[in-house]
Amino acid sequence: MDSKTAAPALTAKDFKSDLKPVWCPGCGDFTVLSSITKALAELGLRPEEVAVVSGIGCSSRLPAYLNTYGFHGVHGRALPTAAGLKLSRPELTVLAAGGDGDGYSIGGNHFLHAARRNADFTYVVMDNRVYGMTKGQPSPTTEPDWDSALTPGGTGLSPFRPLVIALASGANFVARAFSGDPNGTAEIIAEAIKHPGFSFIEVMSPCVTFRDEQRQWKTQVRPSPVPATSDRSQAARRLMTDDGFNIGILFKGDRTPYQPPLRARMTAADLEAEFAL
Amino acid sequence: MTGGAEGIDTVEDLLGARQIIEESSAEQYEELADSFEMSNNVETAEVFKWLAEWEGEHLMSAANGAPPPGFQWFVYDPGDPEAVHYLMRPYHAWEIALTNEERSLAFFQAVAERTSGDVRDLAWQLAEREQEHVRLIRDRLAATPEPEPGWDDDLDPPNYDM
Repeated sequence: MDSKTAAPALTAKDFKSDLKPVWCPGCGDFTVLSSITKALAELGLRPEEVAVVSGIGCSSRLPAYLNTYGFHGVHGRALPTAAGLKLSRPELTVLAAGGDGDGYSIGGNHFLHAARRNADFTYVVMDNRVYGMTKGQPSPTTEPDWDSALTPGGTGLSPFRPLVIALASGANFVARAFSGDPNGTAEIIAEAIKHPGFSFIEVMSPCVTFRDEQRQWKTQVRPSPVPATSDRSQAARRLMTDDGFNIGILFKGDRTPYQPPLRARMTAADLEAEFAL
Repeated sequence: MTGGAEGIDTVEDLLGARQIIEESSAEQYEELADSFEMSNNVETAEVFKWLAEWEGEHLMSAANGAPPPGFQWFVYDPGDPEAVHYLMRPYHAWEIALTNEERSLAFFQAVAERTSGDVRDLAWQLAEREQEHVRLIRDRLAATPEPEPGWDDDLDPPNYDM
């Protein structure tokens, strides 16, 4: 494209829709939304080149607030939908987005297999360790002793460890971000999108309504003291001593993304013939 | 948290920085207004709506420049979950606005102190304008009743602690 026909560079704002987010004031998901739009703008993408797929939950409303293609799907099923979309439309930049309940419980099985399959898309999980939309039930990442009316004394269950699972299942990019650091989060998202294969980002996104104690996260998170590794075993060893507050890219692998050859598309007449009674 | 005065060396840089400040403030106030409206905290939403429109007017009158790379502006620290509360009162909204205007003022003053010539003159001019904004917001804050103790008590809390 020459300078006469080059489209003007877009800003983060160009990726936002006119819909008002329904998130609570102070919710971490606002900054994740801003980080995604910033990353897309910085990568020089255009809204029509991007699709964002989600499941159900507060954070899964995200596609509606973007000006890209979007699909707000069924609970826990963002990943197979995103994978199918990427495999059939490889030219699109595909992101899946959602929360910890959607991604690790209802969609937990898909999480394993999306990492294993390694299709080339990015999964952003806004983890607040609670089901916020349904009023505060513990999620797979909730601490075992989190005391609430719904779980007196806590669940007593060992929390799901998303980075460990992603790494062990074959994800090609594994990172942790904090919503309180919008620039850092945007950089990680941009790196994840650029990296081939299944990229997974766990974003610590406080729920200011149901998990008041998460306000302390801002004082607990720290940049990871070591750079990303491309050695999966080394990444696994680092996770053994990880306390959950190290922010940054943990692992960047070199697996070849899964992309079967595309079959010829059907014509409208072929489709019509298939549906004919 | 915000762009610093370092790196502002030309009139174009300064106009660009001003544009980012006005634009980001307008957008973030609007986001807060929407968010409080959705939380049915109408009074606080109205203050943020007013602030968004006010900043929007400044934006319309701002001459375009080229923002220095990486220059950003936040009305409140996005890393601070205590910066906003769903039950906060209009008084708190004016406090956020006052802090934002004072930071803008300090920014332009800092630019004026480290530059010379046209850049310095423009920075002082913008600082004077910010001084007026600080005064206006301070008046609004003074005219707003202080929140009563327990303003953040929710009689129907979202989460009952055991």
